[in-house]
Amino acid sequence: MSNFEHSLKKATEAVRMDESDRSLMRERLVTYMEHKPLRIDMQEKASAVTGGFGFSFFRAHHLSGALIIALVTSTFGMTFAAADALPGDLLYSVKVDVNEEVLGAMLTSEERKLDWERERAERRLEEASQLAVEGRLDAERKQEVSRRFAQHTDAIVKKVHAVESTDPFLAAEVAGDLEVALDTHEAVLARLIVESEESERDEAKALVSEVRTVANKVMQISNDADERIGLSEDGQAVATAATMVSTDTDAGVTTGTASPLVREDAAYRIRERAEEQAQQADELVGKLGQTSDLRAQAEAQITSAREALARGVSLIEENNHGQAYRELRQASAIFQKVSRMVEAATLFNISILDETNTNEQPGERNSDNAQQSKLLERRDQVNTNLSEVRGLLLTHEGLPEDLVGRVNAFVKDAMAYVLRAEIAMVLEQYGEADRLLENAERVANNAEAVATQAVKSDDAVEADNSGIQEDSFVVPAVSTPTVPNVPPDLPRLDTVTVYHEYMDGVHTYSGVFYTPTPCFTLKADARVAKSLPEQVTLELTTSEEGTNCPFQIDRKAYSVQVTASGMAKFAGVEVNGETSKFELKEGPNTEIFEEPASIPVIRKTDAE
Amino acid sequence: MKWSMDQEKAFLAAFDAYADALYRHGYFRVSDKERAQDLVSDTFARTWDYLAKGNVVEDFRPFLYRTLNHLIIDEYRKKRVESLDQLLDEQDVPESAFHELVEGSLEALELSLDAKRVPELLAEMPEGYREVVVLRYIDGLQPREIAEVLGESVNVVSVRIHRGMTWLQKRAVERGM
Repeated sequence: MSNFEHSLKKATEAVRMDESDRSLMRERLVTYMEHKPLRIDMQEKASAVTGGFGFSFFRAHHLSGALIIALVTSTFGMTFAAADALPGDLLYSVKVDVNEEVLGAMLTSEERKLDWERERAERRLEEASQLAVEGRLDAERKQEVSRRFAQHTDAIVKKVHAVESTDPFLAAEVAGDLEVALDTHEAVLARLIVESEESERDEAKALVSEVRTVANKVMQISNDADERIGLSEDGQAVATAATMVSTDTDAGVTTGTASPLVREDAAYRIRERAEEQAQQADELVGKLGQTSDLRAQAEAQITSAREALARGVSLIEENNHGQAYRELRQASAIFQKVSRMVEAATLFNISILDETNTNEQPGERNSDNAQQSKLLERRDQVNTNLSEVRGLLLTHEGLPEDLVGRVNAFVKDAMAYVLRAEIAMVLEQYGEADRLLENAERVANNAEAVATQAVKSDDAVEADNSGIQEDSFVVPAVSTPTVPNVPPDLPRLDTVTVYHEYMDGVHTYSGVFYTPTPCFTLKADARVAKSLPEQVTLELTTSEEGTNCPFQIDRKAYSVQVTASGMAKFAGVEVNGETSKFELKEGPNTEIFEEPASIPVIRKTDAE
Repeated sequence: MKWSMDQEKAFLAAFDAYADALYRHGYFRVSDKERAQDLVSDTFARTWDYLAKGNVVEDFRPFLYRTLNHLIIDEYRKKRVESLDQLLDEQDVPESAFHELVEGSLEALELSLDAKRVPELLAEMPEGYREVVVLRYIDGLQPREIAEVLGESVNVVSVRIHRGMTWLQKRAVERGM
């Protein structure tokens, strides 16, 4: 062998496939071979199969007995059932890694790609539900579902972020669709938990909580996108924004909203969608039995959606596009939700509680149990409160976007708690149910308080909006009561409140940060730009530990000390590297904690 | 039945025997791990398609390389990178240059390449040369086999190898390797 050959060999022999890639490829190849058998006489093959399978190599170590049977049956010309394969089945990887990838690769428009990605995320959850129905949702399968679900939703979130500045409507639409879809799947899974075997509940519960986490993230995106479209609750504000650019009370101008043209376009697009969805919902509901409870529930929802649709249409005619968009968006979401609920209920033959209008009580059979009736009473009370809050929002138009978003977030969280509490009740985990209901009550009360205050002090609202401009880097040096309409003890999830104190050359920035579950840890740090006066940026970093975590908003305290001159300015807050809304308050941290021992306090004594 | 069993067995045996080598070949041709994997995967799928139609493959190795090579060429065509014909002007080939290549003896070149930089050099190599050099020295195919894979004459292949090696040598010297 020449030196050259030797060099080449040496240089290249390290290049090889990963063992796992290689065996995956082999596995797919075997599946492919099965899918496309060699052309031989059918009778001959049949006799070979009955005569002891005959194709021994198919019984490679990675195939289980059940899968061998699946293979044999499919060789007989039965449906090639990759489309029905579930995680853990041999054909599953053909379905997901081959069929779906191929379909996805054929899509060209960004919109359809996003839609497809959402569909895939939903498919994973449907598979999980199917597995739960069949009693096969074990840890391994759940992990497979979770991993793929996260992949799809991450892809969507990434893509939506990429398009949200150029096409906020698409972002709002995609995020809104996903949000509705996730809500439905969460409800389905939750209902299945109740009906599933004890041993599998943990997996399904963990999945529900993952779905909730993503749903919250998506809701945020959808709200942000709406904000970007620049929807004003008040049709007047649209006109004001166009004519009175200098006014500082108009939040629309300062937060960079879309032009009226975009708004008009958005309103028409959502109208078209809502009408399509109405038709779809009607069709689906039409297939249900005349007397079924599900039909009655669905029809009630459709009626309220139709009302919103009608309001939206007449608002368009009045050229009030911002308001029209909101109505139509709501109509669209309800239609969509009805369709999904009906689909899911038919598919899994289960009844899904509608969060607000239900009369069904999963624990009724034990109603003699005093403890349980008490819990049910509390649950009903929470539901009543939530209905009132929603009613309040619906009947009072013209509330600021920011507040409506916050109330909606509370309502959703409360509903999630109620759902979980119901599950706990059915599982006779009364302690857990009690704790969850407590959370539900607390969050529902928050929702009610914010909503009531907002309705009462409509005028004070504009001051609120101008106080929390997103990109504002110059913060008033003196404390200003910027949120007169919100009780001080309510968490403002989208805004970080920072208390600032200065003494002997040391600035202390402290406060409380809210995390979606208690499983998050918080790190706080500060960056000081040395230009005079110094600019201090607070850097908060969260990291999630563990996945099986109760969905419960948690408070983490932080405190950072920085040595800088008395003139130092507070430049802003970054949460996980992204600029966040913040509110700076001069004076000591007045927020009170129930459990001071659990609060991680990170101190930084020297500036960079 | 026995016939099809044998074909299936032989096919999977070919996968076990050649998948890595084909991947390596693909990798040095397209310089992309994932693409290389896809190419190998496609190669086996196409080969199976061929078998499924009732055809017989006597010797899998050249067949697989040929299939892989077609796929790679297809890929280049899609990308319209460069025309193989333009690269190779094979009019003035000295017949005397062939025997050493056929014998696989390249002592004359006496390159002592830094092993780590070989892939780098290969990546820069014009595609027409890289194809044969990879087949010859990384995959260890004889010029006769390469000719079969590419559907060219042994002479043409040998000349290409020779030119490829000259290119490589020149480039290695330029780089002070």
